[in-house]
Amino acid sequence: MTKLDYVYASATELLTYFRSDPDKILDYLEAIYDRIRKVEAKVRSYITLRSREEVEREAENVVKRLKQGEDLALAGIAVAVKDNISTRGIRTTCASRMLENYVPPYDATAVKLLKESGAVIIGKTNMDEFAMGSTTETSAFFPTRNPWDLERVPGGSSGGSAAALAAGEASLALGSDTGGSVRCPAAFTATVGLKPTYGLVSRFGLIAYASSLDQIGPMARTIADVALLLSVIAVHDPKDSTSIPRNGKTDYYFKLEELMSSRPRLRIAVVKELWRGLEEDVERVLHRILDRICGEHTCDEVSIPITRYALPAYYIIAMAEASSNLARYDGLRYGLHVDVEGRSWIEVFTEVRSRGFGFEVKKRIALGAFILSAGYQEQYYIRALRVRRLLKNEFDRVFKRFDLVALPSMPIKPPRLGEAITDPIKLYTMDIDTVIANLIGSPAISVPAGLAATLPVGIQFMGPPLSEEKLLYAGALVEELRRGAALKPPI
Amino acid sequence: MVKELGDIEDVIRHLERLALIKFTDDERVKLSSEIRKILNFFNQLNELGDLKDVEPLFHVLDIESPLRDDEPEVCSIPASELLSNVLREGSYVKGPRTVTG
Repeated sequence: MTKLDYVYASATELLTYFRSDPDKILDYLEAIYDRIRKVEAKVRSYITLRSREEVEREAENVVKRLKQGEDLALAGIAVAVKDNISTRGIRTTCASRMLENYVPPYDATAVKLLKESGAVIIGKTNMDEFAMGSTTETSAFFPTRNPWDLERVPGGSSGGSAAALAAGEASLALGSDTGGSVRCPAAFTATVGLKPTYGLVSRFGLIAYASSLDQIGPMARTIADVALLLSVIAVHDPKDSTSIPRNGKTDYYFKLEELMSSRPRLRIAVVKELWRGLEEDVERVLHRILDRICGEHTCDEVSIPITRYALPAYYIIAMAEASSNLARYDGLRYGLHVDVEGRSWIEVFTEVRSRGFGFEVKKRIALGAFILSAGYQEQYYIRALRVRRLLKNEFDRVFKRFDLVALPSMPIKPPRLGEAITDPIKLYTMDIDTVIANLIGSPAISVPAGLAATLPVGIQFMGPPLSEEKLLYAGALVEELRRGAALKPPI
Repeated sequence: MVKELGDIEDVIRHLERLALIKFTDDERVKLSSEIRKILNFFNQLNELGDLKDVEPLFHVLDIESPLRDDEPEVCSIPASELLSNVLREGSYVKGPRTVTG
């Protein structure tokens, strides 16, 4: 393989190659680091990039394990990890001044599983601060740029992970998704992002934003690679009380191959309320793909009027949970330290929070505290939770008749830097099609549907809990239809 | 809602007290223009009328916090690493006074 072949090869291809010649892993990593040197200054995917020497030493050990005949699911594959997922000995900042110097003493379960499978962590990727945003612009350090157009955002909050994949700076990535944070950047960078069923992937070591909504999600450039990565990280974990009890692992890659050869007919619901308000060219790209999918599968339009309240309900719940979760940053056990000598707890706590958090985080904590305060809790928080119940009931009904729901990933093309972030409602409205999956605990995937002019558009599929196999299958059908259309950014 | 709470500056001061957070002058300017929009956006839920009969859905899984057996486990992480992020004085966690006066 040439250097550029290496950086844009799929993990699946690379693994076959490495199995026959393990030493090639070192050539591949050299190619990845060369690529990073070339494009990182323009894209800025990484907050922390590990040194090449350190990564090479780790890779040499993987080569040895392969040669000894160990079966490693991700041998030598370069993985980018979002900077809110704890990595022992590697700084984990959440893109916040609060955790600028925080080095976790332990690995998140997903990271531990990656290492056991022979994957090599290349670095920690940029994100919206504490995952609060949809553009990666609320990062306290710098914005990441979209490899498809450097004047535009890569989406967020897992924007660094998506940009790293699109720019060829990693072969697989982990993101996290509270209201669309894996699917939004996947859509904006022509990569694939899956938010698993709530409880499928352990949240142990994922720094909390809104615990009833957060999930770690696999990201890659192809559906098969997402299936491969999901197979490694979807394991029951006693360290996360919300982890779904299951026996052993599921081989999603194998299941996907099975479905692609048996090709069952899918019943797909098109929720009409979720196809409104799209930018015209985004709508055109999406309909072109959807029409072709519906030519071979059974599609029906359904109406779920309550979906128009999903977005305010989501933001109320997320802010309420955030205000409680982020109260842990007291400046004593970890995070920003300030002078405590002779000062009261309230003074110190207030100073730590005021200096450590950026505007978007402070705003969400303050509004969350307000939503939960006496006199407003019933009106906002409890009411939002009742809407969440109504939504879940409606979708439970839809999933009795249909395998999946097809919907846009993002209603718009990636905005220019600074364009969305100035208006909070505009920023929040970007998530209109992604928050439902988090509210009802469903899995959902964003798959590249094509380009609107020169910018990527993603289509989304959402299914009932634990329907990941069908989502991957639907995604692979889209990928198949798109064959021939190059989705490699111009960078 | 903002109206009931009064002046926007009062609302911000109220939020600061509630959340133990101080906004900078620049942030106050931004917040005063955003807060009304966000609360109006939240108030859309009022259009749904009475929802008293709908049980709130706090969590999608029926979880009862499982407790593991109360048996000590060996921790492989050295104490020095566990304490590496802590504000310390000798072997103590250093903190501000919780009782004043």
